[in-house]
Amino acid sequence: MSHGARRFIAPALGLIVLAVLIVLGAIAVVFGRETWFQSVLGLARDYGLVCLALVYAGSYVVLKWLGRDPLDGVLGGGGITVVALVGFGATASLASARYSSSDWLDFVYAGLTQGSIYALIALGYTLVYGILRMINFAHGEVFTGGAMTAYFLADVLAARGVLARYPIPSIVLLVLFAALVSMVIAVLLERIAYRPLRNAPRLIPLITAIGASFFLQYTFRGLYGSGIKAYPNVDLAVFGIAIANEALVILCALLLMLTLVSFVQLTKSGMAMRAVAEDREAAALMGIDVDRVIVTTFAIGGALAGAAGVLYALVFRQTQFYMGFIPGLKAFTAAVLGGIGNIPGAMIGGLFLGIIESVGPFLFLEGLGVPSPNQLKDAIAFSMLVLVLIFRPTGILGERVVKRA
Amino acid sequence: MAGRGLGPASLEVRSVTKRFGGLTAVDDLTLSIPAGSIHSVIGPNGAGKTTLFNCITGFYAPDGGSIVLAGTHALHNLRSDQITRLGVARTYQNIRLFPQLTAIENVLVGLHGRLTSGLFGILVNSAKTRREEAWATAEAHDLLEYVGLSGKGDGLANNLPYGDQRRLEMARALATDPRLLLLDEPTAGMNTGETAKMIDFIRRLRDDRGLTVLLIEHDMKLVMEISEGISVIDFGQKIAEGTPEAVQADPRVIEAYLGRGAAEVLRVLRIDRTPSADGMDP
Amino acid sequence: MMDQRGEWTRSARQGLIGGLVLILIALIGMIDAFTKRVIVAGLLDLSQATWLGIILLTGYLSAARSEDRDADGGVRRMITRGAFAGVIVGASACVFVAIGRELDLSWIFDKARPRLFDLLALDAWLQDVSGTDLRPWWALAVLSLAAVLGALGAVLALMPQPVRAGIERGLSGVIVLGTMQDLLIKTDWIKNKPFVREGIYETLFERNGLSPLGATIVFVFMFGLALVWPRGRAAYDRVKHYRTAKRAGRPVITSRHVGIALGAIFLIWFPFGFGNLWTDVFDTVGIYILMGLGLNIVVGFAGLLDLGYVAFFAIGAYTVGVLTSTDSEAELLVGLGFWQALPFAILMGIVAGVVLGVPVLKTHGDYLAIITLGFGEIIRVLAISDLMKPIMGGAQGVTEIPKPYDVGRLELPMLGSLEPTNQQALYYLILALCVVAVYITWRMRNSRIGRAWMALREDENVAEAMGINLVQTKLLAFATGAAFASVAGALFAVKLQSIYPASFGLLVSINVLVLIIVGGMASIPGVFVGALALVGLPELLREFEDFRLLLYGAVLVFMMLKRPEGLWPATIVKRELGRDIHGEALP
Repeated sequence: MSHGARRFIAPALGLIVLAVLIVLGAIAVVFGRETWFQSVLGLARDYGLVCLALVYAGSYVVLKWLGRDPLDGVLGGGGITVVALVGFGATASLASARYSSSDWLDFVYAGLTQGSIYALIALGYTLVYGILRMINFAHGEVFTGGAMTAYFLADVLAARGVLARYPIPSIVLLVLFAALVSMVIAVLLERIAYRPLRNAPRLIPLITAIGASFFLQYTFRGLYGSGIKAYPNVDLAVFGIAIANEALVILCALLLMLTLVSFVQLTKSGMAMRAVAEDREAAALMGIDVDRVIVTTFAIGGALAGAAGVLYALVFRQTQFYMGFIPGLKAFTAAVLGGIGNIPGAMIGGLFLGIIESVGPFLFLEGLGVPSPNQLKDAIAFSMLVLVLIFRPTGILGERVVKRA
Repeated sequence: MAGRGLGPASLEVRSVTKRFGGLTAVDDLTLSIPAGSIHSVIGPNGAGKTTLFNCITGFYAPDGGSIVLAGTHALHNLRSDQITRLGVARTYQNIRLFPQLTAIENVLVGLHGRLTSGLFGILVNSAKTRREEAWATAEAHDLLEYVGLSGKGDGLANNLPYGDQRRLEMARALATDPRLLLLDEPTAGMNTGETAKMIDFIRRLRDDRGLTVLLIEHDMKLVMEISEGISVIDFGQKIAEGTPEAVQADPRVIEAYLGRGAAEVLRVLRIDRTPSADGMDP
Repeated sequence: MMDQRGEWTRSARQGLIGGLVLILIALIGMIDAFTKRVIVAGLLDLSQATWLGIILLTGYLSAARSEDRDADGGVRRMITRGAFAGVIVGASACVFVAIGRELDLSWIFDKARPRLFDLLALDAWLQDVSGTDLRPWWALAVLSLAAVLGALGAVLALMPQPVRAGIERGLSGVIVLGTMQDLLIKTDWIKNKPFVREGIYETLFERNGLSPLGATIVFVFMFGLALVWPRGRAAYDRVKHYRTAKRAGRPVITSRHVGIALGAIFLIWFPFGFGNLWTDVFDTVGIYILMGLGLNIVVGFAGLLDLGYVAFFAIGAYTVGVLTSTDSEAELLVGLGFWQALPFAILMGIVAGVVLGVPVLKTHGDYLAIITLGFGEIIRVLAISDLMKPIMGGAQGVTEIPKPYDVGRLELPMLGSLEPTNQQALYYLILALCVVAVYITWRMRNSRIGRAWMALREDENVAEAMGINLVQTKLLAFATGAAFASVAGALFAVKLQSIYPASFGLLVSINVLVLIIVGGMASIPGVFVGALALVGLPELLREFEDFRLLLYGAVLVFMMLKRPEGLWPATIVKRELGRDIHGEALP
């Protein structure tokens, strides 16, 4: 079998396992044999470890027989086992009918809100990675910077009653202000910490970025104190119809993403960005000012993160100095999911991650009998990160990279 | 520990194919290199020579075909470390040393596969480990001396001059105790005098160490002077094969080079005496 | 002819940067927090030292980076420019103080309280030093002081190297000793020995800070020491001598051996001489040294940037915790002893190292870093979750972990009997395990395994082509690193006697990473230096606690930009990098 076809075997096997489970579930539902199906599920749950071991051993044997490298079997077996586990959990959750369809819709809605924020932050990671091939680990802190600084403006606006009287202009003002602050932070970061290392070995900028991340986080703590700052509440109504903050956030995020895409696709600077992302040296030879493009990239990524910060604060209503760290990591996951360096990928990855994270605990874990599954939300997100990086490091939309000598 | 003393190994490459997406870099290629010979692979830039090397050494898994060493060992299903242990060593076109290790450490890494101390022996510093380390250090010094780098063992590989880096890479390859040595453009960037020395050196290597040598080279003077057999490849396919004289006279070879530009033609026809300028093969 | 205008602009820019740094430091709260550390009684505390130090440094940099030195009249111009740069720092501070006193910034900036501005205006200090109330003219006073200090900084830069080194070391000696005063007096050896206490301690120190006489003594002593025992050339010669002698097969006793012997004696004597406070700090340092040695194998030797290293630390701690806990309410009660549980902890660590290592075998560089980070986070989330609560105790963690030993009286031949406290016993346990870890690291580093790791770090593909089995080699690195970390975790568990998931965050991984980077990648002594500097110091100087991570961040960035080889680089790296990075051979 050719090497090319071989890499589809593991996903195919995983999908087959998933399909079998779903078909079984469907048959059970159609023939009104839920109890029968549930007793099968119950059996599988009681002997869960044995079942998993069987799935693992089976897929390992098959993959090893097909492939040249035993490692493919070890890893692929793990992947298929995870798929089986997830498929089993999902089937069991759905079969138990614990949540109504409106519950699921609520989960998806919450996921979309969270996901659109991830998507905005993820764009910053992806833009920078596309151009510099570096992970800007401190990007989560750029997000924090915007949100925390804009808090003071929000506070003033709320105290003067402006926020209540003119909610939409106030929110626009807040978003712009946060975007500006974050942009400044991102540009300074590039200038001070990253630019001198542009040609250093790859791990050095990563370590620098980790350092910058901590530095910024604790600078915010020092400047603004370690307490939680609660954003004022915004009641939004258009023509007398109340609009939930969530809807506003999704809308804003979509608008911003649209702006970004048109910027990258239509303007001259956007074209320069794409050229530099394609081949930095060639772009420089064509007379593109690479430094300027890089600064622009950081500025745009920063601005989007700042805007995301305000949107985040509108939904979750509180800011704190470490608020950006976990969303930052998640957004990075989203960027990786969509194929790092890929702009539409980051958006789709963000939304996808948001939804998985919000639906996942109830869909995948509840059925497995995990107590308080929502606690494991982050574990799901990070597992996705790990799985994608291991099995498809170029992401869902990314292209396959040829191993270079 | 000591050399395996099996002597030079023959190499059979049968119908090897390697594709990258839509590009077929090596296309149904068959080569046969007798044990103990010096054989060259030539061809225009991008003909697939380095890809062939990468397939032989296990860096790429060929998509089809087989590669057999010494008539018994099938290489095409093995990892590079296994292939190296069977006696295949290589150097790289754009020198790839371990830059932050010293010269002697580079050679010691090459000796890795010939040392056998286990974790436990290393931790308790057993007599066997000590003996082995002493042997390895002595062997590494000998190898450095053999390639003309005696006394330069303690400098970082990165800080050696270009010519010394080439030699160090040779020493490192020899340290693996090869039966087949693959040299990827060993004279790239060298002047005429250095090239002449390299020719002598490769011959001496083959005779002293009992090796089969497979070369990729652009310098036709060297190729014609040193090779016992030459294979010409273009677009991943073999277009000619034979003794230097036969290949030089082969019209298909001239055609392959003609298509690629006048400079190359001139060089092939006149066997130009100036060093190869286009040492880069992507 | 020098570009004079360019030079002045540069100095102005340096002054402005200095000013901004000062304002940032002030807003973050350092200036305020540092007032508690008096360095020289009645003269200088750490806060003022920081404030004035920034001006001095700005003046110094303005001259040190100047190319005007050899020009006609250059020296005079450079000093003037130093003063100019200093004045700009001072002026930035003055503007900041004026604004801060006029507007209330404290609703935005947590630390911008009136006291801060009084400190920055140097009100109290100027009064103490000059004896008159200078408050009405504070701006003038600050500016003139800034000019003088800036000029002094420039003068310092212009001095010949030995003198400059002497002054630098004298000043740092004074600052370090002054800062450490309350630690010194809490040291048993000083507290309980009348000779040391009355003869030395009380000459040097007043109740709060060094006495002016003490400061002078320390300064002169360090200055003299720098002249007699210069760094650099001599140290380099010693290393070279050692290497040549070793190569020739001659047995040599070098200052290095003597140093190691003295160090060993010191470490053994340490808990008796220094007392519990210090011992406790050294326990923590030791735990981090163990982790540092382990991560050094993974990152420093094998070049696999593992950001989830805390996972193995957690596994070690939880294994020992769960197996030995005597908490009768725990759902899982095993009740093993520490020594019975330790092998399980190591085994679990190794297994986890391999299990988490397998998936990342084919990934490299930053992807590997992020995957391991993901693993670390997953394990932490699991530890808090209800899912693992029956075993790991959820957010309540594992409590009532017994001490690993029950030492009574030790009868030592010839030395009489000893009654080590629990604290001391733990110290020796950690010390012993550190020694074992150093030995293992050292043996491996100088073997075919160590070389294989380093080849892997340098170029994975070529390493494989040299006959190195990548899978085995990488997994061995992960497993060894994990084993060290899980031993560290086991010690952590018995040291604190209770463990909570909160102790196993990403911060631990970052902490260990920073310490090996600061110490010097792939350098064994570097791990010690890094752990002492980054774990020991903040433990000892509690005011720094709030700024610890901030400083870590700054240190990481700074090291990567200016000194990627670390404070105590691996020997070879030192020799070679010394040339490459600083553009000149080491002196």
